[in-house]
Amino acid sequence: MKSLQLRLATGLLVSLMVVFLILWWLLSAALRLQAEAAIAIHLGHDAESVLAAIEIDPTGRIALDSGKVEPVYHRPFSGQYYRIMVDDRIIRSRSLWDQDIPLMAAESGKTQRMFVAGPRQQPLVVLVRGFSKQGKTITVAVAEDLTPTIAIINAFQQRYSLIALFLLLGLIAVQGIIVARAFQPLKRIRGQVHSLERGERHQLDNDVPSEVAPLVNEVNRLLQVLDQRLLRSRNALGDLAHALKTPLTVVQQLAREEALNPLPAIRTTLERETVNMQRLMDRVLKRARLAGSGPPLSRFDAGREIPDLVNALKKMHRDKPRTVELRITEADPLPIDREDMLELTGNLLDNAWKWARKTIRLTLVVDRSVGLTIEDDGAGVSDDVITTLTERGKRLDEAVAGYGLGLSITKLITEQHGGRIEFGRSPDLGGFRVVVVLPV
Amino acid sequence: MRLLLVEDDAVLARSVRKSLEQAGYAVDVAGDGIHAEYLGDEGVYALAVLDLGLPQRGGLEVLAHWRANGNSLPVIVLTARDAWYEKVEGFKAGADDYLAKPFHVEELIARITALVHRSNRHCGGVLRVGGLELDEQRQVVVKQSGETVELTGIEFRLLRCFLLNPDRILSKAQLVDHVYDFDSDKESNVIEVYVNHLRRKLGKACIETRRGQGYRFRTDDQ
Repeated sequence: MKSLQLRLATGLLVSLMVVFLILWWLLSAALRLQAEAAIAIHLGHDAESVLAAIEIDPTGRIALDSGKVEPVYHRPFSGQYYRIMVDDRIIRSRSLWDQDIPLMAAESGKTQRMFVAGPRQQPLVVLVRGFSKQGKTITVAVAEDLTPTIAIINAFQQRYSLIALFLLLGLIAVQGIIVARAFQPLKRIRGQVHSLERGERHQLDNDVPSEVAPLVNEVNRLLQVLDQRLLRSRNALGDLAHALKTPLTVVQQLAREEALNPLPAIRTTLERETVNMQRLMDRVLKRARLAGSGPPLSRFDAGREIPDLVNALKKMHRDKPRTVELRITEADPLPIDREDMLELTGNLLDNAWKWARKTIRLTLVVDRSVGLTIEDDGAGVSDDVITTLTERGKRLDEAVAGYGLGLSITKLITEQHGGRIEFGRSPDLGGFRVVVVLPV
Repeated sequence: MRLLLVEDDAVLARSVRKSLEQAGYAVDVAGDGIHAEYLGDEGVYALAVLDLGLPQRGGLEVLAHWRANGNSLPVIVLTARDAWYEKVEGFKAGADDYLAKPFHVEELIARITALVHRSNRHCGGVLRVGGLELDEQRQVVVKQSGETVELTGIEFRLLRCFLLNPDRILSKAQLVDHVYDFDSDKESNVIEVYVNHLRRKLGKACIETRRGQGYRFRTDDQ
């Protein structure tokens, strides 16, 4: 699993660390330069005061008036040192104690700055300046211990690292939040894909970030292509049915021609075979056109469609008026293919119409599944028949005469949608009862 | 009764037409949607048998146009498309009945007869008016006395027209429209001849002549 979030965090971490390191180096260098410059100025002043304290008597003897030098130069290893060199003579500050800083003499008017190790391994910055006084060249070296400065810089660097670490963590956390936010649309799309599957929508929303939009658009296009393909194949099957059924009607008519009166055997064969053809065609076509589970083409609005269906049935069976009680509680369209649902309900109602005496009752209950019950007040069927009907894989139209293709198609549709179908006796009306349960 | 048969398959149309004519109907055939829609708006048909898969204009569209124009011509949809959602759509478009292919012509005739009776506000299966009972299957009429009277084809068509419209004045032109199809030679004087035949068989008083208006089948004083 490649985590985009991990990759982004790693990238950010590395680049931030590079930035912080460069800053760390720049700031430390700046601080050090600044401190050294300040020390140099301060040492310059000290050198001048040391020079002022040098006295050369007329015999050429050199003496130093220690009273004119700051007392820090007299405390041993105080960190402030001087060393005066006139010809071969060397005067060292008392603070140097028994140590010396080996240095070269400087020409008059020249100043040198250098770093040397001093007593007790103190890192020293040394200012060496050459003077000319009363005809003698005097080299004055003033040194200061850098340890306190380095300590300050170290302390700064520690604080800096700590702050940088916190900033780094903070920024990574912020980035994590931003990335999580950026991926929010993907979560929404995942939800939408689920509702696609349930048939609650046909397309994904395309108000997504521009990085995801091409993907969403492609998915939408694919969905459209699939929808069209299903529609096309359904249409093609319908056309085939149409194309085959008209000539079949002609052949059926032919069987009834008067010219065939003297040939009853041929007539019987023609009639029997056309009926067979019709049955086969119906079964194959209806089975093939079932959408089955998966994204339905259009949803089933039971409250609107079932009354229309009942209306159609009433017109088709005008010679057999029946009272149809509708008990539909669901107001929202169901995510089940409309054509499949109409086929299923139509077949069951048509069957009930055949057997009912007066009343047919349709009950539709939706909770986690769709429960469709159709019962009538007819004679019903015996337990044997119910057992036969319930057998799996049984072709109902062959199993039980009079229950025709309708029930077998109903069973097919139910199985394709992953539901179940139960046959029995209506406890209330006394006739045949079919219960279909379909998952939503 | 004159029917409009809309069917694009010429062989099927010919065979159905023959059967319908034998059953005593005058039949015109239209092979495409546009022609069918035009003929249906002529107002001379008692009923249309409409196939849905038509060239040029689909049957459902033709039906929807008729209904939108206030044409209440009774329509039996005849189609290979027999899925329930298609039936529901057919009835919603204004069909009065629906018959799926392949079908037996006897069933079509039974449905036509029932629908013609219904659209003439006649209830029940048998046409029984003014003491006469028309047996549409055998094409004979049974008098109150129980005497059965044979009828020729044209006489049967004419009498059915009268019995479906009792006490209403029918002009000669209307009767011609219902008795003959589009291709026959129409001679309105012939109607007079057949009306006289009927009078001879059923009694002079049953059909009254209204000068300049037409004929009326009387039920009041029989």
